[in-house]
Amino acid sequence: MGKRIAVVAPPSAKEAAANGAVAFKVLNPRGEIEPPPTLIPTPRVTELAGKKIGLYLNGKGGTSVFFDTVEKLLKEKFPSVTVLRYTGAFDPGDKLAAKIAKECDTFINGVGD
Amino acid sequence: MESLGLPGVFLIAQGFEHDAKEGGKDYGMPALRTLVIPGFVWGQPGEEKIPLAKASFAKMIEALTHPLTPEETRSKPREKEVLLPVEITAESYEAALEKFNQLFLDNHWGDGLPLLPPTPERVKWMLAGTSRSPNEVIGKVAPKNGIATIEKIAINAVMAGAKPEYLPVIIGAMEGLADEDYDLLHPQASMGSFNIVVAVTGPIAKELNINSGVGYLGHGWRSNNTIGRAVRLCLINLGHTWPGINDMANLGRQQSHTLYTFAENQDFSPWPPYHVTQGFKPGDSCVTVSTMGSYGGTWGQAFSGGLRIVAFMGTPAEEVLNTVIENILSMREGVFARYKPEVWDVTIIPLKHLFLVPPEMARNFQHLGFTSQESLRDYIYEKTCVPYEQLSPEEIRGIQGKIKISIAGEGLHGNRLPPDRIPVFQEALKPGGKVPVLITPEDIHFMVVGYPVGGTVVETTYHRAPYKWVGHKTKLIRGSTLTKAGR
Repeated sequence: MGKRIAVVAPPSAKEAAANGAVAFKVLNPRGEIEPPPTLIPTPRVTELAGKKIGLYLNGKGGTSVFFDTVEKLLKEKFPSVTVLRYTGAFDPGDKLAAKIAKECDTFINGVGD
Repeated sequence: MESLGLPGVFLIAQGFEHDAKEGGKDYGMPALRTLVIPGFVWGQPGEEKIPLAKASFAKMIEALTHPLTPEETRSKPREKEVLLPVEITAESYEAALEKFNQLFLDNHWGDGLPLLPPTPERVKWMLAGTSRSPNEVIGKVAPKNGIATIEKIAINAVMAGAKPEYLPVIIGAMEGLADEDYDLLHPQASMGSFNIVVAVTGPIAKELNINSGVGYLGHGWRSNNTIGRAVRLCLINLGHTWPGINDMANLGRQQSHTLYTFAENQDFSPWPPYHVTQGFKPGDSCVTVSTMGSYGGTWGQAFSGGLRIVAFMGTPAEEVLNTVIENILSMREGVFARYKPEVWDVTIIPLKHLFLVPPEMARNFQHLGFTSQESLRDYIYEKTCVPYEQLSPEEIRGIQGKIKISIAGEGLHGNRLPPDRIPVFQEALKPGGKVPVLITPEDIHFMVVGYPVGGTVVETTYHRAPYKWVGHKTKLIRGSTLTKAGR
């Protein structure tokens, strides 16, 4: 996030100071972040027919109408699909995520806060 | 779910593209498959959501079934951000200061106001205010979990214009916000424009000349203004937040640069210091951080995170008390009846209340027999319990549901009862019982602040925090080297 900045090598500061210019060093105010292991997305299902599709939302106003429509469209286009609705927190947490992963073949996530 | 081997797509509301991208990176999946919905799905349920869903449906199918591209399967390991010092050179002092400020702002390392340069010498000067090691880690700061060390806090304190003697207070505030129980993600990232109270109690407040009287939330006090600003800069730089990128506050965070920073007016308070109500000793010096959202009932809402007026000067204490009780009771239907496990609705999460009471009003409460903050809060808690026989069937179902998910440990933290309160609610939900609208008396807080005479009672409310247990924390100020208190 933010632009990368060029870090000027210390000798230039000395040189600048020698030329009568102003030079000072400032410390970086950012908190260090331990990068998480990089994951790649899971391979897609090849088709939706016959699949169990999870719809995950956190119940914010307006989302029910939206997802009702998505569910209706899925069932119209793929009559053999099973749509499973789940509601929970913005982050479903390990327990619910594991349940959804076990019960579904693919999912659509629509949370917000 | 993706990391558990379930393929899917994350729908993103228009305007949240940056936020989603940052979220993917934070969780280690920069190639997370997302789909921007060309509109807003939130808001009251309405027919306009139907065409929105229809317009995006084909793309949803494609996102679910189109094979991953080579780019998506070749996500590079994320590099650790290098946080080296920076050399600033310019032809004059003024030009160097300007260059430094522009550089920091361009990198999202500032708050928009001029900063002071955190040179190694100045940071060392700042660190002289604490006996704690510069390398000591006090916690991680949401949303990106940047590591907060004493040195990093000192760097930000220098930038804010704080003095070394303020540093232990700033560290204490950050210890509260970075506490594992504190829900900092919500006030840092949510569209709700929440903000933070920083209240100092105990003898250190006077030593640091923190304003607790006229204009206690205003300008003109270096201590109030730079302690709050240092905490704001820590939240930006240690949490790695920026408006519109991953801080989505709709209105911005009002009183953003200095937060709501003040000291308790102990000289004119009839009660023990506030921190005694939180288990600390009277002679301790403490700092309390508290998220402010200002949801409410009869007084309306101040979604910007501001304060709401409860009573103007001259209002009799009995009337103020009744107003408070009525307001909390007005939340009853929301808290009880509208609770549904599948609905995420801010109004169904019980509130915590922080009242800022002028000294004269506190004395009036004392004259009514409330000899401590605890006696007053216990009274309000009792008066806002609803007899079982007065509950509607829908309210009873709602409370039963809340108890059920609390026992199972499911759903939002904010919707759950803390384990020690589950038996209280089970016992209350019987004939002869009384069910509290508030989860515990400890969700009511009183601080005495302001001019000794007259004044306005104001309040800020917030949830009991949606994602973690609390949005309010008091920490002991310690490690001070330049003040008698807080050592």
